[in-house]
Amino acid sequence: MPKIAYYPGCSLHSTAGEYNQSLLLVLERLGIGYEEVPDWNCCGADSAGTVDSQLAVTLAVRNLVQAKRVSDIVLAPCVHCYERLTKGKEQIENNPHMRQNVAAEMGQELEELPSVEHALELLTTPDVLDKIQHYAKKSLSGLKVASYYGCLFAKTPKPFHFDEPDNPETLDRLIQTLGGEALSWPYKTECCGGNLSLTRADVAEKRVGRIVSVALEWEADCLVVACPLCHANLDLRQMQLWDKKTENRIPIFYFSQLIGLALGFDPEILGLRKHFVSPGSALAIAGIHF
Amino acid sequence: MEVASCGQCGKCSASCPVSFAMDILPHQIVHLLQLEAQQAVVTSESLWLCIQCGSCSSTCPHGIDLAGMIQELRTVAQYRPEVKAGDQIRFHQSFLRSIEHNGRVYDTALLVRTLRAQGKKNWKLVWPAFARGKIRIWPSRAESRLEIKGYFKRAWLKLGGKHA
Repeated sequence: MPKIAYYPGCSLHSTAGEYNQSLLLVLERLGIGYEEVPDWNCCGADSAGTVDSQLAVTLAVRNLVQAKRVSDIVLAPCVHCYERLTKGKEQIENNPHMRQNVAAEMGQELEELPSVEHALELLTTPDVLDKIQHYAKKSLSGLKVASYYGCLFAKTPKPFHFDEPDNPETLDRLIQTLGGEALSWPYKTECCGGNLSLTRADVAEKRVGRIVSVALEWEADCLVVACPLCHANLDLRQMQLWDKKTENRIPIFYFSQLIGLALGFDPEILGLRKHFVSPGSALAIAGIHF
Repeated sequence: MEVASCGQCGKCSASCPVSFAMDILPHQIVHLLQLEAQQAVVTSESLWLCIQCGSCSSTCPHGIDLAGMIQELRTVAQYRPEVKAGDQIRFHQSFLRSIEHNGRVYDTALLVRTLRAQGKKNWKLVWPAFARGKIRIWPSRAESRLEIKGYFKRAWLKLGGKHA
Protein backbone atom coordinates (compact mmCIF):
# COMPACT_ATOMS: atom_id res chain seq x y z
CA MET A 1 0.00 0.00 0.00
CA PRO A 2 1.43 3.42 -0.90
CA LYS A 3 2.11 5.97 1.79
CA ILE A 4 -0.87 8.16 2.71
CA ALA A 5 -1.01 11.81 3.73
CA TYR A 6 -2.41 12.09 7.24
CA TYR A 7 -4.56 15.13 8.00
CA PRO A 8 -5.20 15.09 11.77
CA GLY A 9 -7.29 18.25 11.98
CA CYS A 10 -7.65 20.45 15.06
CA SER A 11 -9.70 18.08 17.22
CA LEU A 12 -7.16 15.29 17.04
CA HIS A 13 -4.54 17.69 18.31
CA SER A 14 -6.61 18.57 21.38
CA THR A 15 -9.91 17.15 22.63
CA ALA A 16 -9.59 13.92 20.65
CA GLY A 17 -5.93 13.22 21.40
CA GLU A 18 -6.75 9.60 22.18
CA TYR A 19 -8.28 9.12 18.74
CA ASN A 20 -5.04 10.36 17.18
CA GLN A 21 -2.93 8.19 19.47
CA SER A 22 -4.89 4.99 18.90
CA LEU A 23 -5.32 5.50 15.16
CA LEU A 24 -1.60 6.02 14.55
CA LEU A 25 -0.72 2.95 16.63
CA VAL A 26 -3.15 0.88 14.57
CA LEU A 27 -1.83 2.22 11.26
CA GLU A 28 1.73 1.41 12.31
CA ARG A 29 0.86 -2.08 13.47
CA LEU A 30 -0.95 -2.81 10.22
CA GLY A 31 1.99 -1.52 8.20
CA ILE A 32 0.09 1.38 6.64
CA GLY A 33 2.65 4.12 6.02
CA TYR A 34 1.67 7.72 6.58
CA GLU A 35 3.14 11.19 6.68
CA GLU A 36 1.43 14.18 8.25
CA VAL A 37 0.21 16.77 5.75
CA PRO A 38 2.98 19.39 5.82
CA ASP A 39 1.87 22.54 7.63
CA TRP A 40 -1.84 21.76 7.47
CA ASN A 41 -4.47 24.31 8.47
CA CYS A 42 -7.98 24.06 9.90
CA CYS A 43 -10.56 22.84 7.37
CA GLY A 44 -12.90 25.69 8.37
CA ALA A 45 -15.64 23.33 9.64
CA ASP A 46 -19.11 24.85 9.18
CA SER A 47 -17.96 28.23 10.40
CA ALA A 48 -15.98 29.34 7.32
CA GLY A 49 -19.07 29.08 5.16
CA THR A 50 -20.91 31.55 7.38
CA VAL A 51 -18.55 34.24 6.05
CA ASP A 52 -17.95 33.27 2.46
CA SER A 53 -18.26 30.12 0.36
CA GLN A 54 -14.91 30.76 -1.31
CA LEU A 55 -13.17 30.98 2.06
CA ALA A 56 -14.64 27.59 2.98
CA VAL A 57 -13.30 26.07 -0.25
CA THR A 58 -9.88 27.73 -0.06
CA LEU A 59 -9.24 26.55 3.51
CA ALA A 60 -10.06 22.98 2.51
CA VAL A 61 -8.20 23.03 -0.79
CA ARG A 62 -4.99 24.42 0.69
CA ASN A 63 -4.78 21.22 2.72
CA LEU A 64 -5.32 19.10 -0.36
CA VAL A 65 -2.54 20.93 -2.21
CA GLN A 66 -0.22 20.44 0.77
CA ALA A 67 -1.20 16.77 1.02
CA LYS A 68 -0.49 16.20 -2.66
CA ARG A 69 3.17 16.89 -1.92
CA VAL A 70 3.38 13.62 -0.01
CA SER A 71 0.66 11.35 -1.40
CA ASP A 72 -2.31 10.84 -3.74
CA ILE A 73 -4.52 9.85 -0.81
CA VAL A 74 -5.31 12.06 2.13
CA LEU A 75 -6.68 10.47 5.28
CA ALA A 76 -9.09 12.48 7.45
CA PRO A 77 -10.11 10.87 10.75
CA CYS A 78 -12.65 13.59 11.65
CA VAL A 79 -16.00 13.45 9.91
CA HIS A 80 -16.21 17.23 9.70
CA CYS A 81 -12.78 17.53 8.10
CA TYR A 82 -13.64 14.66 5.78
CA GLU A 83 -16.79 16.42 4.66
CA ARG A 84 -15.07 19.79 4.16
CA LEU A 85 -12.13 18.34 2.23
CA THR A 86 -14.43 16.27 0.00
CA LYS A 87 -16.70 19.24 -0.67
CA GLY A 88 -13.73 21.47 -1.43
CA LYS A 89 -12.40 18.97 -3.94
CA GLU A 90 -15.83 18.60 -5.49
CA GLN A 91 -16.16 22.37 -5.91
CA ILE A 92 -12.77 22.63 -7.63
CA GLU A 93 -13.64 19.80 -9.99
CA ASN A 94 -17.17 20.83 -10.89
CA ASN A 95 -17.32 24.59 -10.50
CA PRO A 96 -14.94 26.32 -12.97
CA HIS A 97 -15.70 29.75 -11.53
CA MET A 98 -14.76 28.64 -8.02
CA ARG A 99 -11.69 26.85 -9.34
CA GLN A 100 -10.49 30.01 -11.05
CA ASN A 101 -11.06 32.20 -7.98
CA VAL A 102 -9.41 29.80 -5.55
CA ALA A 103 -6.44 29.25 -7.88
CA ALA A 104 -6.00 33.03 -8.20
CA GLU A 105 -6.22 33.48 -4.45
CA MET A 106 -3.69 30.74 -3.75
CA GLY A 107 -1.47 31.98 -6.56
CA GLN A 108 -1.09 28.58 -8.16
CA GLU A 109 -2.69 26.26 -10.67
CA LEU A 110 -4.77 23.57 -9.03
CA GLU A 111 -3.42 20.36 -10.48
CA GLU A 112 -5.11 17.08 -9.80
CA LEU A 113 -6.07 16.95 -6.12
CA PRO A 114 -5.58 13.87 -3.94
CA SER A 115 -8.54 11.64 -3.13
CA VAL A 116 -9.98 12.01 0.36
CA GLU A 117 -10.65 9.02 2.58
CA HIS A 118 -12.08 8.80 6.05
CA ALA A 119 -10.08 6.68 8.48
CA LEU A 120 -13.01 4.31 8.91
CA GLU A 121 -13.28 3.87 5.16
CA LEU A 122 -9.61 2.97 4.91
CA LEU A 123 -9.64 0.56 7.85
CA THR A 124 -12.72 -1.35 6.74
CA THR A 125 -11.71 -2.28 3.20
CA PRO A 126 -11.74 -6.11 2.83
CA ASP A 127 -7.93 -6.22 2.63
CA VAL A 128 -7.43 -4.27 5.81
CA LEU A 129 -10.14 -6.22 7.68
CA ASP A 130 -8.30 -9.43 6.73
CA LYS A 131 -5.10 -7.93 7.99
CA ILE A 132 -6.74 -6.92 11.29
CA GLN A 133 -8.02 -10.45 11.72
CA HIS A 134 -4.56 -11.79 10.96
CA TYR A 135 -2.81 -9.57 13.51
CA ALA A 136 -5.54 -9.78 16.19
CA LYS A 137 -4.40 -11.05 19.56
CA LYS A 138 -7.69 -10.68 21.43
CA SER A 139 -11.30 -11.17 20.52
CA LEU A 140 -13.95 -8.77 21.75
CA SER A 141 -16.37 -11.67 22.02
CA GLY A 142 -19.23 -11.14 24.43
CA LEU A 143 -19.11 -7.37 24.00
CA LYS A 144 -22.37 -5.88 22.72
CA VAL A 145 -21.51 -2.79 20.74
CA ALA A 146 -23.95 -0.20 19.42
CA SER A 147 -22.37 1.44 16.40
CA TYR A 148 -23.08 5.14 16.25
CA TYR A 149 -22.40 6.93 12.97
CA GLY A 150 -23.96 10.27 13.79
CA CYS A 151 -25.85 12.35 11.29
CA LEU A 152 -23.12 13.93 9.22
CA PHE A 153 -21.43 10.68 8.47
CA ALA A 154 -24.32 9.01 6.85
CA LYS A 155 -26.49 11.80 5.60
CA THR A 156 -24.21 14.20 3.80
CA PRO A 157 -25.49 14.24 0.20
CA LYS A 158 -23.85 11.94 -2.32
CA PRO A 159 -21.04 11.50 -3.29
CA PHE A 160 -19.69 12.44 0.13
CA HIS A 161 -20.72 9.35 2.01
CA PHE A 162 -19.11 5.98 1.47
CA ASP A 163 -21.82 3.95 3.15
CA GLU A 164 -25.59 3.49 2.93
CA PRO A 165 -27.06 6.77 4.23
CA ASP A 166 -30.07 5.24 5.96
CA ASN A 167 -28.52 2.09 7.26
CA PRO A 168 -24.73 2.36 7.34
CA GLU A 169 -22.86 -0.83 8.13
CA THR A 170 -19.11 -0.18 8.03
CA LEU A 171 -18.74 0.04 11.81
CA ASP A 172 -20.89 -3.06 12.26
CA ARG A 173 -18.68 -5.05 9.89
CA LEU A 174 -15.64 -3.90 11.80
CA ILE A 175 -17.12 -4.93 15.17
CA GLN A 176 -17.94 -8.38 13.82
CA THR A 177 -14.39 -8.75 12.52
CA LEU A 178 -13.12 -7.89 15.99
CA GLY A 179 -15.31 -10.64 17.46
CA GLY A 180 -17.88 -8.36 19.12
CA GLU A 181 -21.62 -8.36 18.68
CA ALA A 182 -22.89 -5.47 16.52
CA LEU A 183 -26.32 -4.49 17.78
CA SER A 184 -29.04 -3.61 15.36
CA TRP A 185 -30.48 -0.53 17.04
CA PRO A 186 -32.51 2.43 15.78
CA TYR A 187 -30.33 5.42 16.73
CA LYS A 188 -27.34 4.73 14.50
CA THR A 189 -27.62 7.92 12.50
CA GLU A 190 -29.23 10.26 15.02
CA CYS A 191 -27.47 13.53 15.69
CA CYS A 192 -25.47 14.18 18.88
CA GLY A 193 -26.10 17.94 18.84
CA GLY A 194 -22.85 18.83 17.08
CA ASN A 195 -21.40 22.22 17.91
CA LEU A 196 -24.60 23.29 19.66
CA SER A 197 -23.07 21.62 22.68
CA LEU A 198 -21.26 24.82 23.59
CA THR A 199 -23.99 27.31 22.82
CA ARG A 200 -27.26 25.44 23.29
CA ALA A 201 -26.40 22.85 25.90
CA ASP A 202 -30.12 22.13 26.36
CA VAL A 203 -30.42 20.88 22.77
CA ALA A 204 -27.26 18.77 22.99
CA GLU A 205 -28.32 17.26 26.33
CA LYS A 206 -31.67 16.27 24.95
CA ARG A 207 -30.03 14.56 21.95
CA VAL A 208 -27.42 12.78 24.06
CA GLY A 209 -29.99 11.73 26.65
CA ARG A 210 -32.12 10.07 23.99
CA ILE A 211 -29.22 8.29 22.31
CA VAL A 212 -27.83 6.96 25.58
CA SER A 213 -31.21 5.80 26.90
CA VAL A 214 -31.99 3.94 23.70
CA ALA A 215 -28.56 2.28 23.68
CA LEU A 216 -29.12 1.17 27.28
CA GLU A 217 -32.59 -0.07 26.44
CA TRP A 218 -31.03 -2.19 23.69
CA GLU A 219 -28.65 -3.52 26.34
CA ALA A 220 -25.51 -2.24 24.68
CA ASP A 221 -22.30 -2.48 26.70
CA CYS A 222 -20.75 0.43 24.87
CA LEU A 223 -21.05 2.75 21.90
CA VAL A 224 -18.50 3.07 19.14
CA VAL A 225 -18.00 6.29 17.15
CA ALA A 226 -15.85 7.62 14.32
CA CYS A 227 -16.15 11.36 14.92
CA PRO A 228 -14.43 13.53 17.56
CA LEU A 229 -17.46 15.75 18.05
CA CYS A 230 -19.83 12.81 18.58
CA HIS A 231 -17.36 11.45 21.11
CA ALA A 232 -17.03 14.73 22.96
CA ASN A 233 -20.78 15.19 23.15
CA LEU A 234 -21.71 11.65 24.10
CA ASP A 235 -18.89 11.11 26.58
CA LEU A 236 -18.76 14.51 28.23
CA ARG A 237 -22.48 15.29 28.29
CA GLN A 238 -23.23 12.06 30.16
CA MET A 239 -21.26 13.51 33.06
CA GLN A 240 -23.62 16.42 33.24
CA LEU A 241 -26.81 14.54 32.57
CA TRP A 242 -26.51 12.05 35.37
CA ASP A 243 -24.31 13.97 37.70
CA LYS A 244 -23.77 11.42 40.43
CA LYS A 245 -25.58 8.29 39.33
CA THR A 246 -23.17 6.02 37.52
CA GLU A 247 -25.46 3.11 36.66
CA ASN A 248 -26.96 4.87 33.68
CA ARG A 249 -23.70 5.54 31.94
CA ILE A 250 -22.37 3.90 28.86
CA PRO A 251 -18.73 4.05 27.73
CA ILE A 252 -17.97 5.53 24.32
CA PHE A 253 -15.07 4.18 22.25
CA TYR A 254 -13.40 5.41 19.10
CA PHE A 255 -13.38 2.60 16.55
CA SER A 256 -9.59 2.84 16.43
CA GLN A 257 -9.45 2.08 20.16
CA LEU A 258 -11.47 -1.10 19.66
CA ILE A 259 -9.15 -2.19 16.84
CA GLY A 260 -6.20 -1.36 19.10
CA LEU A 261 -7.60 -3.51 21.90
CA ALA A 262 -8.06 -6.43 19.53
CA LEU A 263 -4.49 -5.96 18.27
CA GLY A 264 -3.36 -6.37 21.87
CA PHE A 265 -2.40 -2.81 22.76
CA ASP A 266 -2.60 -1.78 26.39
CA PRO A 267 -5.79 0.24 27.14
CA GLU A 268 -3.62 2.91 28.73
CA ILE A 269 -1.66 3.74 25.58
CA LEU A 270 -4.88 3.76 23.56
CA GLY A 271 -5.89 6.74 25.70
CA LEU A 272 -8.77 5.01 27.46
CA ARG A 273 -8.04 6.86 30.70
CA LYS A 274 -8.93 10.11 28.97
CA HIS A 275 -12.60 9.27 28.76
CA PHE A 276 -15.12 10.78 31.14
CA VAL A 277 -17.19 7.62 31.35
CA SER A 278 -14.83 4.86 32.44
CA PRO A 279 -14.70 2.02 29.92
CA GLY A 280 -13.81 -0.47 32.67
CA SER A 281 -17.17 -2.27 32.67
CA ALA A 282 -17.09 -2.88 28.90
CA LEU A 283 -13.46 -3.98 28.93
CA ALA A 284 -14.19 -6.47 31.72
CA ILE A 285 -16.84 -8.12 29.55
CA ALA A 286 -14.27 -8.57 26.78
CA GLY A 287 -11.85 -9.98 29.36
CA ILE A 288 -9.46 -7.04 29.24
CA HIS A 289 -7.98 -5.88 32.51
CA PHE A 290 -8.16 -2.11 33.06
CA MET B 1 -34.61 29.80 -7.97
CA GLU B 2 -34.64 26.19 -6.86
CA VAL B 3 -37.04 26.76 -3.95
CA ALA B 4 -39.86 27.11 -6.48
CA SER B 5 -39.94 23.34 -6.97
CA CYS B 6 -40.74 22.66 -3.28
CA GLY B 7 -44.18 21.12 -2.75
CA GLN B 8 -44.01 21.34 1.05
CA CYS B 9 -43.84 17.61 1.66
CA GLY B 10 -42.04 18.24 4.95
CA LYS B 11 -39.44 15.51 4.62
CA CYS B 12 -36.70 18.01 5.47
CA SER B 13 -38.35 18.90 8.77
CA ALA B 14 -38.99 15.27 9.59
CA SER B 15 -35.35 14.38 9.00
CA CYS B 16 -33.87 17.38 10.83
CA PRO B 17 -32.29 16.29 14.14
CA VAL B 18 -32.72 19.69 15.77
CA SER B 19 -36.12 20.74 14.40
CA PHE B 20 -37.60 20.23 17.88
CA ALA B 21 -35.75 23.34 19.04
CA MET B 22 -36.39 25.51 15.96
CA ASP B 23 -38.64 28.56 15.80
CA ILE B 24 -39.27 28.08 12.05
CA LEU B 25 -39.14 24.51 10.71
CA PRO B 26 -36.97 23.66 7.69
CA HIS B 27 -39.90 23.26 5.26
CA GLN B 28 -41.29 26.56 6.53
CA ILE B 29 -37.98 28.24 5.72
CA VAL B 30 -38.35 27.07 2.12
CA HIS B 31 -41.95 28.26 2.06
CA LEU B 32 -40.96 31.70 3.35
CA LEU B 33 -38.28 31.90 0.67
CA GLN B 34 -40.92 31.02 -1.95
CA LEU B 35 -42.96 33.92 -0.64
CA GLU B 36 -39.84 36.11 -0.74
CA ALA B 37 -40.18 36.77 2.98
CA GLN B 38 -36.41 36.73 3.51
CA GLN B 39 -36.65 39.04 6.50
CA ALA B 40 -38.44 36.41 8.60
CA VAL B 41 -35.84 33.83 7.63
CA VAL B 42 -32.68 35.81 8.27
CA THR B 43 -33.83 36.86 11.72
CA SER B 44 -34.86 33.35 12.79
CA GLU B 45 -32.98 31.31 15.36
CA SER B 46 -33.38 28.21 13.17
CA LEU B 47 -30.73 29.48 10.82
CA TRP B 48 -28.18 29.13 13.61
CA LEU B 49 -29.51 25.94 15.14
CA CYS B 50 -28.77 24.11 11.90
CA ILE B 51 -25.72 21.92 12.39
CA GLN B 52 -25.13 21.43 8.67
CA CYS B 53 -25.56 17.67 8.80
CA GLY B 54 -27.19 17.72 5.39
CA SER B 55 -30.10 15.42 6.28
CA CYS B 56 -32.59 17.83 4.68
CA SER B 57 -30.59 18.15 1.46
CA SER B 58 -30.09 14.42 1.04
CA THR B 59 -33.72 13.58 1.72
CA CYS B 60 -35.33 16.28 -0.49
CA PRO B 61 -37.19 14.68 -3.41
CA HIS B 62 -36.56 17.82 -5.50
CA GLY B 63 -32.87 18.00 -4.73
CA ILE B 64 -33.09 21.34 -2.94
CA ASP B 65 -29.88 21.93 -1.01
CA LEU B 66 -31.42 23.58 2.04
CA ALA B 67 -28.30 23.12 4.17
CA GLY B 68 -26.29 24.99 1.52
CA MET B 69 -28.91 27.76 1.37
CA ILE B 70 -28.84 28.14 5.14
CA GLN B 71 -25.09 28.59 4.98
CA GLU B 72 -25.52 31.33 2.33
CA LEU B 73 -28.22 33.05 4.38
CA ARG B 74 -25.96 33.06 7.42
CA THR B 75 -23.44 35.29 5.65
CA VAL B 76 -26.00 38.11 5.60
CA ALA B 77 -27.88 37.20 8.77
CA GLN B 78 -24.95 37.39 11.19
CA TYR B 79 -24.86 41.20 11.25
CA ARG B 80 -28.59 41.72 11.80
CA PRO B 81 -29.03 43.11 15.29
CA GLU B 82 -32.49 41.53 15.63
CA VAL B 83 -31.22 37.94 15.22
CA LYS B 84 -32.12 35.81 18.24
CA ALA B 85 -29.09 33.54 18.19
CA GLY B 86 -26.27 35.69 19.51
CA ASP B 87 -24.44 32.85 21.27
CA GLN B 88 -24.18 30.70 18.16
CA ILE B 89 -23.06 33.62 16.01
CA ARG B 90 -20.41 34.52 18.55
CA PHE B 91 -19.30 30.90 18.58
CA HIS B 92 -18.80 30.82 14.81
CA GLN B 93 -17.02 34.17 14.82
CA SER B 94 -14.80 33.10 17.65
CA PHE B 95 -13.98 29.87 15.82
CA LEU B 96 -13.00 31.87 12.75
CA ARG B 97 -10.93 34.33 14.71
CA SER B 98 -8.95 31.39 16.00
CA ILE B 99 -8.24 30.10 12.47
CA GLU B 100 -7.46 33.58 11.24
CA HIS B 101 -4.74 34.05 13.85
CA ASN B 102 -3.32 30.54 14.24
CA GLY B 103 -4.22 28.82 11.00
CA ARG B 104 -5.82 26.20 13.23
CA VAL B 105 -8.46 26.26 15.95
CA TYR B 106 -7.12 27.01 19.41
CA ASP B 107 -9.96 25.44 21.29
CA THR B 108 -8.96 26.65 24.73
CA ALA B 109 -9.45 30.26 23.68
CA LEU B 110 -12.62 29.27 21.86
CA LEU B 111 -13.97 27.54 24.94
CA VAL B 112 -13.14 30.42 27.25
CA ARG B 113 -14.63 33.03 24.92
CA THR B 114 -17.79 31.01 24.39
CA LEU B 115 -18.31 30.08 28.02
CA ARG B 116 -17.60 33.57 29.28
CA ALA B 117 -20.57 34.77 27.29
CA GLN B 118 -22.82 32.25 29.03
CA GLY B 119 -23.88 31.04 32.45
CA LYS B 120 -22.08 28.78 34.88
CA LYS B 121 -23.27 25.37 33.78
CA ASN B 122 -20.54 24.52 31.30
CA TRP B 123 -17.62 25.75 33.39
CA LYS B 124 -17.86 22.68 35.58
CA LEU B 125 -16.49 20.64 32.68
CA VAL B 126 -13.37 22.69 32.13
CA TRP B 127 -11.26 21.22 34.93
CA PRO B 128 -12.14 17.56 34.24
CA ALA B 129 -11.38 18.15 30.55
CA PHE B 130 -8.07 19.79 31.42
CA ALA B 131 -7.15 16.99 33.82
CA ARG B 132 -7.67 14.46 31.04
CA GLY B 133 -5.39 16.34 28.69
CA LYS B 134 -8.26 17.34 26.45
CA ILE B 135 -7.51 21.04 26.61
CA ARG B 136 -4.10 22.26 25.53
CA ILE B 137 -2.40 25.26 27.04
CA TRP B 138 -0.51 26.40 23.94
CA PRO B 139 -2.17 26.60 20.55
CA SER B 140 -1.17 24.31 17.71
CA ARG B 141 -0.28 26.73 14.91
CA ALA B 142 0.26 26.54 11.18
CA GLU B 143 3.51 28.09 10.00
CA SER B 144 1.80 29.67 7.04
CA ARG B 145 -0.78 31.45 9.16
CA LEU B 146 -0.08 34.75 7.42
CA GLU B 147 -1.14 33.23 4.13
CA ILE B 148 -4.34 32.05 5.80
CA LYS B 149 -4.90 35.44 7.35
CA GLY B 150 -4.82 36.81 3.80
CA TYR B 151 -7.72 34.57 2.77
CA PHE B 152 -9.75 35.94 5.66
CA LYS B 153 -8.90 39.50 4.78
CA ARG B 154 -10.33 39.05 1.29
CA ALA B 155 -13.47 37.39 2.68
CA TRP B 156 -14.08 40.13 5.25
CA LEU B 157 -13.58 42.82 2.61
CA LYS B 158 -16.14 41.11 0.42
CA LEU B 159 -18.59 41.22 3.32
CA GLY B 160 -18.17 44.98 3.51
CA GLY B 161 -15.14 45.29 5.73
CA LYS B 162 -16.88 43.96 8.81
CA HIS B 163 -14.74 41.97 11.12
CA ALA B 164 -15.66 39.38 13.72
